[in-house]
Amino acid sequence: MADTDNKIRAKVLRTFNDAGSETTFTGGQDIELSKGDFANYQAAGLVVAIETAEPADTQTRKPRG
Amino acid sequence: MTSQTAAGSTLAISVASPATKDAAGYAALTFTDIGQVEKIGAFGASFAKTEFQPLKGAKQKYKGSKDNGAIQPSIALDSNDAGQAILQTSADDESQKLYSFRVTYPDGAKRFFQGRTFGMPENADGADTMLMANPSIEICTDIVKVPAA
Repeated sequence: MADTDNKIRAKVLRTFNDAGSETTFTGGQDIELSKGDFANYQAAGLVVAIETAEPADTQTRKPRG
Repeated sequence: MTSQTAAGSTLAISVASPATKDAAGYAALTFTDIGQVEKIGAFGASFAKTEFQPLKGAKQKYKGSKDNGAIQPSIALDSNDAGQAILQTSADDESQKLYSFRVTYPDGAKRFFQGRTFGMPENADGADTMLMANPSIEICTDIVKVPAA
């Protein structure tokens, strides 16, 4: 399986350019990357993975009477 | 392949290693092009020479150990270039991790290898010159040649 499969959501830590794809990624942007691109960019400190948000607490508290 | 100039050649890097050190293994990797490369330089395998002079007859020269060489590309510094940032990471890496490299020629032929970056010194020369980086990448695997499609 090529490591271009499996997209990863990532946050761009600082603005950078990819010379090959001629794409500019802006700092603070949320993007989707292939697994391979993510590994390369992450190693250079350019992006971090966006962690899956934890589900909201759906239990209601009983008011104290 | 007919003769061609080097114009249009590219150098790219990947932090991943191929499952197999052949065309298929390297083709499965994701490479990031290194921008602003002025020169890639000469690279390729050479053999150590072991000489033997018999009492009678010509000196014999035997092929010894193989060295796949190194490349010292010349690059105009660009702090926003992703490929240069990855290359700098490989230069700063104090471990023995191998990084994968791909050279692509103008006709589409490719050369793949793995290596370690032993340094990426920056050069501030005269006022009328570009700020340059001159990384030194030692090639640690046989070079896989893929002809143009």
